[in-house]
Amino acid sequence: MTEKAKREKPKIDHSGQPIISCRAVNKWFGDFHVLKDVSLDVMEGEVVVICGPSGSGKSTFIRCINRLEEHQEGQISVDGIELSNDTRNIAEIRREVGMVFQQFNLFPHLTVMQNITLAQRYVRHRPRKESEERTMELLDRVGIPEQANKYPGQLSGGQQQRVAIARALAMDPKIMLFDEPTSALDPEMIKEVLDVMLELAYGGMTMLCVTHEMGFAREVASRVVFMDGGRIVEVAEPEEFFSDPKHDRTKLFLSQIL
Amino acid sequence: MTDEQKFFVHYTAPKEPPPSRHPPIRDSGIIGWARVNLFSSLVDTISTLTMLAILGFAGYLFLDWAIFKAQWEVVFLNLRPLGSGPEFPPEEVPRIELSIYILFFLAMLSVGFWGRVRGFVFAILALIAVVTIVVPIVADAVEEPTIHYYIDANYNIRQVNFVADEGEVLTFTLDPVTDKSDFDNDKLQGYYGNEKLPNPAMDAFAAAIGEVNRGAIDPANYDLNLAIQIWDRRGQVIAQSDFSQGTSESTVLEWESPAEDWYTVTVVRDPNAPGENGIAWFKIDDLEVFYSTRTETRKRLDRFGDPPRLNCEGCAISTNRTDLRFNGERTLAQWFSLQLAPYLTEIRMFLFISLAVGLVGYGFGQAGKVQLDRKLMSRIVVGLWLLSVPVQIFVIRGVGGEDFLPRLSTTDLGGIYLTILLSIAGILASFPIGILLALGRQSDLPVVSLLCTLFIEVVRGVPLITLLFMGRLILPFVADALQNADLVIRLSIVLTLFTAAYLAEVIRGGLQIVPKGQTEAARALGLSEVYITTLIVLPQALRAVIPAIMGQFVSLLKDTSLVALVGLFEVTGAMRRLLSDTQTGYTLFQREGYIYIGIVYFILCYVLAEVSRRLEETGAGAARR
Repeated sequence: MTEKAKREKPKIDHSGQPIISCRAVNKWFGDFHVLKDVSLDVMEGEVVVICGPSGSGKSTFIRCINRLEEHQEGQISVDGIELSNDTRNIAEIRREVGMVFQQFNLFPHLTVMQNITLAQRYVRHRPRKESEERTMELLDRVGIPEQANKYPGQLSGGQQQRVAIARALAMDPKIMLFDEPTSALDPEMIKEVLDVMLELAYGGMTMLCVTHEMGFAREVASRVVFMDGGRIVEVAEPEEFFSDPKHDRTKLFLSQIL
Repeated sequence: MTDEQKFFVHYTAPKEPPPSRHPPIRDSGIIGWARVNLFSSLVDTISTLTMLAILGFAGYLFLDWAIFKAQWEVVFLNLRPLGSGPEFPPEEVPRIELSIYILFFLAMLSVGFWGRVRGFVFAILALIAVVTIVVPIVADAVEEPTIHYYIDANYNIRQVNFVADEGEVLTFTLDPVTDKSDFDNDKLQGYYGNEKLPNPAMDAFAAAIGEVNRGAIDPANYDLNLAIQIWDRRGQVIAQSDFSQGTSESTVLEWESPAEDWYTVTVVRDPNAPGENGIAWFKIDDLEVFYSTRTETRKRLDRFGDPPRLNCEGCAISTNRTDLRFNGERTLAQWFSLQLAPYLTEIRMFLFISLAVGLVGYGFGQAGKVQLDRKLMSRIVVGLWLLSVPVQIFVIRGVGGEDFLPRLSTTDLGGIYLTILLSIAGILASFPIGILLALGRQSDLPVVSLLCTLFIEVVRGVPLITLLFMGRLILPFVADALQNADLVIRLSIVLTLFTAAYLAEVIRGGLQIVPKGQTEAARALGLSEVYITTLIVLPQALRAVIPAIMGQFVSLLKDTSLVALVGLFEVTGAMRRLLSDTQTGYTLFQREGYIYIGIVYFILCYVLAEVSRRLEETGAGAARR
């Protein structure tokens, strides 16, 4: 803990262009209005934690950012590229945005090594040797280099999630999206995944995390976004968010989870 | 308070956990297995014993028939038509054998490289090899059973040819049947229970039964004047019994062969006083009958020339092919020597070469796995498979040479070879088509999806036999290119498309169970849709439905039997043709014939099922979730 306490949050340069910019994003599932006028800017190096009750649209929102879901109104631009139906744009954005899922979504028929090298080889067109070296480097970083030749089914949940993070990082993304990365894990394994995420955050990665790990938010988040009913209710820096929430809905939510 | 009671209040486990022990002996091992699985309760015990009794009884009935009564010559005398088709030129059969050796070599090479043959398979193969060597050798020492020949005063100019060794003593007996109670259908039941089948030879006896029962003949008035004659190959009578003079005593001729040669035995009537009324059985003991396997026959003909041909007015013996059939019951030893040994002798060359070729292939595969780079080796194996296709076509179609590999039409092919050929072609072609249809049906493009759905539903909605008739009769008019395509290719297309339609539905089921998260994760990594389908979705979907896919392939293998109905002689068709041949008398052997066909299909399907099981268990198929 002492070692971590020494680390400092990276400085955010608020003067430049935001790396992610969402303007009045609206989305419907059938007739159900999931996202209502969601607007948010994220600067490079920022760690934004999104929380909220289930069904508040937070997962849908971050899934819109790499076009896993299609928004129907409003604009989203990532790294200066506006998301549209142009498949080249989508492919370009997906190359720059890594994503980690609640259910890990590792490819069960491939080894850990193959899981991580796959996209490097077929999207980044790296030669096999280079991509394998990069994979080992990342596995070292997430602390499981010895599992390279195992299949996902042979790993624990925490190890699988760390492989999933390594898989996303292998594409050298500018932005990482985390969709409840620790919700499916046993308590003993949550920490090992959070440690990897903390390290990433301290390393200056731009991160959007949907999570209920408030300890994580407190320690490393630049801002906390609270969503409810498909809209953003409150955005604040963590100290302010936890100690002095403004909106009644936020207060209620915090009183229930803390 | 005792120590034990204290545990309920406060307990701390000792520092070291207790060592792991084996389970109690009564729960493990064969006894434990039987106790748990077979006799765990009263109901279990009763049903176990009942099932064992039923199985045992059924097994006993079958073996009793198959070993002591059945006549398998329809199989072992016709291995060529059954193996390569009745139309296939006999002198070109080695080409088919070569083709199968190539196939078997590659199959075992692949198995050796990618998989492993389980120990028990080797044990079975070794057992087969040993049996194949030992049985024909031992069989020579087994005495052949007494063979009865029916003779009748109305049958003329007939003979039984045989080869006798020097010094061999043979006994021929003429047994008049004078007791009316002997004329009973039971006499015919040695073959087929109560079923009376059209046996041309036994028909005579059956007719006699009818006449005796009607009162047209009184067997008690036996007055035939018969004698047994042995002729040598030059047409000289060399031995003759006394004429029976109308007595109902048995006439016996004991005869010692003077030299190893052809002889013929016949029964003659005294031309001066032939007698008028009577029926007798003719028995030959200790005789190695001419009628045997084709190769044995050939050997005898090569060695001794043609058998003698009688032209004798008073000859009364009635024989034709079926007369020489075994009637009654035989011993187990005789079954080995007369039924199993000829079969094994016929197939043993082929079997041994196959085994040797397979072992060599397996050895190469195993060695390649250890010695060579995996990638290089898999390239070699795949390359050899690809290379084998033109080689196979070359071997089977031929080059049109006068003596060397004359050109053959594919319609000449038949038998087990055609069954295997149609199955392999169907499996290889239907698999990719099935995948494309399944993907097409799920396509976002409505036209593609509609077309695929239409095709699948139409093909699945029509019986295969109808489609096969269409393939035979209609397909040539639909497309000019198919006008000249021969029947084998047209029917193979039909079988392929039929299987592909069913496969498509199976694979679609597999596609649906791949979790959505998999495509999302792949998409989030930036993989294109083509890569997502080929690298992520299909491998998982196909693995999930391996059992169902292999089930379709097994169905395909069995469905090839239907081409028999549209004019190809694959193994079922070849057998049907044999069994409908009244000249040879094989019409009698329906049971043996179809049971043999059943065994052939079972073995082929079992191999497929075993491959499927291995795929599920290992490498390509193990569920890794």
